[in-house]
Amino acid sequence: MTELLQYIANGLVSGGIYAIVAVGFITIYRVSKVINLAQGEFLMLGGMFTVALIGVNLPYGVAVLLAILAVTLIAIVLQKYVIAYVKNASALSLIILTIGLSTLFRGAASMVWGKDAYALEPITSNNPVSVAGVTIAQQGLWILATVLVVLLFLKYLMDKTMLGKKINACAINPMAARLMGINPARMSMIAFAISGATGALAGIVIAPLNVTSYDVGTLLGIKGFAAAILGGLGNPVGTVVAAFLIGIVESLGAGYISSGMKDAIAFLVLIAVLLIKPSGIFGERSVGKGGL
Amino acid sequence: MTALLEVQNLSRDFGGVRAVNQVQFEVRQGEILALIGPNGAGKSTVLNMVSGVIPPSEGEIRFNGQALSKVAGYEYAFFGITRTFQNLQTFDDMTVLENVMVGMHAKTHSSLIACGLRLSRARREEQEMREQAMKWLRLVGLEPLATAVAGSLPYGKLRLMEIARAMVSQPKLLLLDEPAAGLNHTETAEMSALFQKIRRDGTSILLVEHDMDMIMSIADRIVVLDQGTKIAEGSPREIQENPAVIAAYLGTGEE
Amino acid sequence: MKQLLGNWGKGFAIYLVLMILYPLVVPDAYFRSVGIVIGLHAIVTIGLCLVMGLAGQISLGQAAFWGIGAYTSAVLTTKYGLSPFVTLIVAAAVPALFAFILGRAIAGLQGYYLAMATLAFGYIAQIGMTEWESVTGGASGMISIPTIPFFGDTETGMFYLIWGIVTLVLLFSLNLFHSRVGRAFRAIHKSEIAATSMGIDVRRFKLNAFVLSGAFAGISGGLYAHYMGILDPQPFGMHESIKFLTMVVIGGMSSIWGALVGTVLINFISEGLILLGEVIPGLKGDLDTIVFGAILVLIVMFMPEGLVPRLRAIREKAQAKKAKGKMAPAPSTQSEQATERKAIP
Repeated sequence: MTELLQYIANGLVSGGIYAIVAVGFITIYRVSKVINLAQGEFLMLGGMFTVALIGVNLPYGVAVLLAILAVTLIAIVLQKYVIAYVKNASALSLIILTIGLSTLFRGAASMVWGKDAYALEPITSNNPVSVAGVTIAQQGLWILATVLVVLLFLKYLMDKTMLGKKINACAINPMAARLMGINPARMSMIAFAISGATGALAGIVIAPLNVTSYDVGTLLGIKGFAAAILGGLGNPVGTVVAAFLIGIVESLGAGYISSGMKDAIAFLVLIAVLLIKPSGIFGERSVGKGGL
Repeated sequence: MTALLEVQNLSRDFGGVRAVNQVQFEVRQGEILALIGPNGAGKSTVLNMVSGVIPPSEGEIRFNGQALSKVAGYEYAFFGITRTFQNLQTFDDMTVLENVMVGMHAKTHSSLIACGLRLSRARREEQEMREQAMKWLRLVGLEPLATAVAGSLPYGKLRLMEIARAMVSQPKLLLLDEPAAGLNHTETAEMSALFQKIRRDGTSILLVEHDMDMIMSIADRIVVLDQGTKIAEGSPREIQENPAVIAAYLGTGEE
Repeated sequence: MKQLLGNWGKGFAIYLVLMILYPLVVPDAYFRSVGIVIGLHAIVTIGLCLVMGLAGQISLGQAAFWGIGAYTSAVLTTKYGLSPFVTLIVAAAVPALFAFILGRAIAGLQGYYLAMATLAFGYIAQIGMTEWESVTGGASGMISIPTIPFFGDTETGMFYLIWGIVTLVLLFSLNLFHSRVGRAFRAIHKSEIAATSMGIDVRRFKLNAFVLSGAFAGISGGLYAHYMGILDPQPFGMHESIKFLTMVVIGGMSSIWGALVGTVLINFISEGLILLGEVIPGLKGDLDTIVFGAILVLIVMFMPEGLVPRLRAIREKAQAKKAKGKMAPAPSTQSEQATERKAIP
């Protein structure tokens, strides 16, 4: 029984990360109907920048802040000068574009920092904590805390602030939003900025747990995408639930079947969702086709 | 005249909205039936159902006596039903000739392997497709533009190309979705003459249109829809004098 | 054979001449091996071009089909002693079967979903290659894969065998492009609804394109296995699939020749980058990755139709200008108001 709980606990931690990636996906998708396949790279860059800044002896807090800022800036530049530029491109072109961006970031990271893995110090100590017979690394708790904070922040932003309402307006009806003086391009930019910032934060907070290197973004991106699809590509609550589900299923699979299959599980889940119910568990029918 | 297409109790819902409600009409062999009505009357929806693009929520569509409910969208062409599109669905990066040749797809059979290996049957069919396509291009006056890329053609010519594409397989029933939209007087008159020739040569036509001149000059009968329901049916003269029709077009100011 | 040749004229003749002369004129084995790799890649990318440019779908799993073909042929020759000539055919069939099953399942998907489904498949396939140790030898792979009799004795022999197959694949695809089926594919790409109205079963055609691309990738994989003599799962992953994607995109998705040109180009760049990496000290990381990523982004932004269609358009414009200059001013006819662009296969 403890074994099961342990696997579930592990799954919750990874699920939390997938949740942030997935929420990053849908924030951008809802506003601009673009699926940013480079989302995972925001996480990678967050972690790598932090490592680099600490490497030049900046204090942890400052490094984190600067790293988040840097990634946010990159996300904004991305939206403003690349995504906006190809606004009228076909769906196929947009897919190729974001794949290219993801590849570009990965390649750039490999050139700047090489292909080695880097370790980041955990926020508190390395000693794991025991809760109800289940062992969790302290960083794992930090991860869950961060996930909670980010999700609550986003919920507050979307539901309670003027900005959030504007973003929602764009998501529901860009034409009407424009007529009310809301600038969808600006909202897109903000959505990218939010995805960049939250992604970077997530990347920083998981770096101590999984080592960070130039290609961490790929798998995280795919699993986050799977969670976003499973959750219905639009419903934030559904997305988060889906993400935790994937994390747990993955963990159970790794524990009970084989650890080599761990990644394959997320992919199998992805394919299964795409084949059986592309509109996701919580999604609306109309979202289902995967075009734009 | 025998009924080629029979539509009964045809209805279609979108979410909570009933866009088409219990519509009933028939297209007879050798006639041009016009489907008219103010904007939002459901004409395009009816056309989309009759061409197999969307399924009806209720009702039956019969072609030559056979029910079309189980027939897949791509099989309509094999029955001899083809169509044009209100928002022009042309293949922009293919030539005008190639666009029209696609129209012959339902009448040809060469498989992927046969085409890749250029077997003799494939070459023969290719020749046939080319000849038929050229014939129709000549008929609609687009022969000089046969090798031009479709994307470079002006609007009016693209409409003609779509008609050629739909006719090249010699369909029994041609469905036209606002073919005159955006055309000037001369072009509309030429198109009307084309439709009359098509009717003379044995193809029946279901025409959805707004252009009253075209309708009045070529339609044998007219069906009028308003807000999803049929409100009148008859000869052009009868429809012109029908008070319900006049009210629908002038009345509630919902256009 | 004459039927297969059709009437491809000048371009094809030039290609043939270049291809036949290549191994005879190049200075050393290095260039020959580059030529062989280009040929292997070209078979895959022509198939990918059919799927992407013609049918308008995206596949990020071609490297997986490549790998499946490679392992199929390798296993059948080493473990069961079958002749490579037989196993190459099986190597085309097995990935085609996978493509059929996968394609059938994902036939309704479009856009991102399709891309991710093929990516997921690619990953699963590669994990399968790594984990199914009893058959594939796992991460360390296989060795002692036999060469192809007669052709495999020399590198030049392999070059001509591979490029012979490239030529057949090229001809097949060019024929297809200009046929009823090819037009059906292209129609699907532009407007599925119009294609359906003309009797085209969109799902079946998309599936056929996918299966064909699997078969092409498979046979190339088999050839790869017998050329290299050893195999491991490493080259059959996402990195390679994206490389294939880049080749098709840069050459021009809608053009078969584009796929060939793109393949040559990317391989040149790849080799050039390796050279650069040796020359510049302290260069770490994947020069490949950043360059290919940049190429994908730049092409979509500035030349989405690709190199070959763009060059053709430039040539047509130049020809039109020349023609205009030669003609004396004449009263313009009503029917010629549109700027005509002549289309070339």
